[in-house]
Amino acid sequence: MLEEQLNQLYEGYGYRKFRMSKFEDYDLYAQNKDFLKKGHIITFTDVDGSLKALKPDITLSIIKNNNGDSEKVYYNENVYREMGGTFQEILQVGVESVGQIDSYAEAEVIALAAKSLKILSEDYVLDLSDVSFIRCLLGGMHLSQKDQEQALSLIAQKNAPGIQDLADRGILTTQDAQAIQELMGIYAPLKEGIAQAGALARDNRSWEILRQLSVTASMLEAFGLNGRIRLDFSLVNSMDYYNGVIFQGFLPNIPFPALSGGRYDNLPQKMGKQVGAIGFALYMGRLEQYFRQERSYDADVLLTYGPDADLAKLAAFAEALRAKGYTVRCQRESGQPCPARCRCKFRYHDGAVPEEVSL
Amino acid sequence: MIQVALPKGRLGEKAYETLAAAGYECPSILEKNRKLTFENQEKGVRYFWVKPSDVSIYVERGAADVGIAGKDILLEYRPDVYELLDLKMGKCRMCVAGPEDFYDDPNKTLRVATKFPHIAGEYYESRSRDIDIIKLNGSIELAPILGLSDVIVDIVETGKTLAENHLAPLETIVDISARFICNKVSYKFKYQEILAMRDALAKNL
Repeated sequence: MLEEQLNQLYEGYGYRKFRMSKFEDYDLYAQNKDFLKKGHIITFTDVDGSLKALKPDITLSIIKNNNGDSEKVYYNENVYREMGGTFQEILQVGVESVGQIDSYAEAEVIALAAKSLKILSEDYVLDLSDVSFIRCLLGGMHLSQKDQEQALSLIAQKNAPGIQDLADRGILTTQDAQAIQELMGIYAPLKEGIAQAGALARDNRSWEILRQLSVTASMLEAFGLNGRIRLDFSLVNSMDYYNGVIFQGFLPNIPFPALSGGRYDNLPQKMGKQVGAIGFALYMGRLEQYFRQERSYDADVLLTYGPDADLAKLAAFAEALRAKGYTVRCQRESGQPCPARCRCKFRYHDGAVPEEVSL
Repeated sequence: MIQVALPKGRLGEKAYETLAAAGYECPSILEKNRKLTFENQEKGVRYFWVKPSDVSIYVERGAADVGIAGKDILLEYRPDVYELLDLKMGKCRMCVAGPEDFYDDPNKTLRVATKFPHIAGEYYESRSRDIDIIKLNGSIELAPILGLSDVIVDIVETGKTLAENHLAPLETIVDISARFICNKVSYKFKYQEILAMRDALAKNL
């Protein structure tokens, strides 16, 4: 149901469905290990001796199959990943736009992300950040690689006391520490947030990034999206994968990000393709359990019958009940309790009429 | 309504007092009974007591929006949460401790007993020291006395327990205090309430 609605949304913007087989050459993943969040892959030897893998990711295959053209695709595919210590099959729904990515193309994908979330819940939140802005800011602070990583993980935790600690230890200047604390304190609707970030832009590159972001913000308004998209620079996950704008979507009462995506020009470039790329994925497999309607019963009616019952008449009676819209489980009386849970129990007797059964 | 996970014990009681002083009181929490959750509708808070090492789990999984957890727990379990405030209470140190006259022979693999294998492992890795971690769940001080380990990595508050067992803190790994932590998704949906709570707490420290 939800998937169909999502597919319709993407097709409305002219995205084509991308289909792929379950298996892909293992080499693809071995060569692009950096782009996979986790390295665990299920591999097997094909009949011709070549090493294959159950796909842990769709994006790599989409970029691999791109031949330098602009391409807009969406997919619903199962991926096989390590989660919680075991491999799991997870349904992923996603969108990728590859080619010359201008402001329109970028905003369109972000708008699709927001609209996908809206299908799942009106009360969604989409957080947006630009990793190059943080890189610019940290780059001007002359930190060692290790200290920079530490600063990034503190930013991801909005850990103001931790940044203060770095300043106390002399790793950051008081002024720089304050700038980082202000940066991670920003949490506001996009345009408002960009205005707040203006105070932290220290060079031309940073100003250019903010200018780009405000173009995106205006475009998103044109797409009819207001207020639910927020600027949050603490979003710094997978900074080696993404190189520009990144975003994550959240839904009320679901304690993990429902959607994540961003700009990843490094991947096509590494594969020798002169194109840019932006996309996102929705973790439908994990979300499904929150949207599935809860069932408390296996069947509405448990219809029992004794050894002397007329079985043909019993079958007709059960069919009559089903025609009324009930789900019916028939079970011969055996003295054992029925393993299925049913809303009501009815013992079949000769001449029974469906009206006798009431829930 | 903000759900607050408090760690059972002295630290949790002190943290509650600070929260109450900051305007988030909930008198029913002081009654002696077997209730597990305590609510003050008017102030928009609901408290519950959990095992200190479980606070970060409740918060990470969103069963609690915010919680009070020791920095030791956060360093050991690395929950994916926001760490919004240092409450500057429950202060202590994560230390390497051992016999007062301990000599670390670099030719030997060091045997380390601890409740915090992650912290201990990372500390010695940063110093390129080969160690053998022995994970224990309590009475850590016993390990060097019985020869189970050479040293221990544990929390030291006053050093009294150590001294009584003829042990001494040898190195300080990191200073510990209680932190105000927050679920990342709760922050998105209740950030005004949560930031108001953080600021009220910060004012009352």
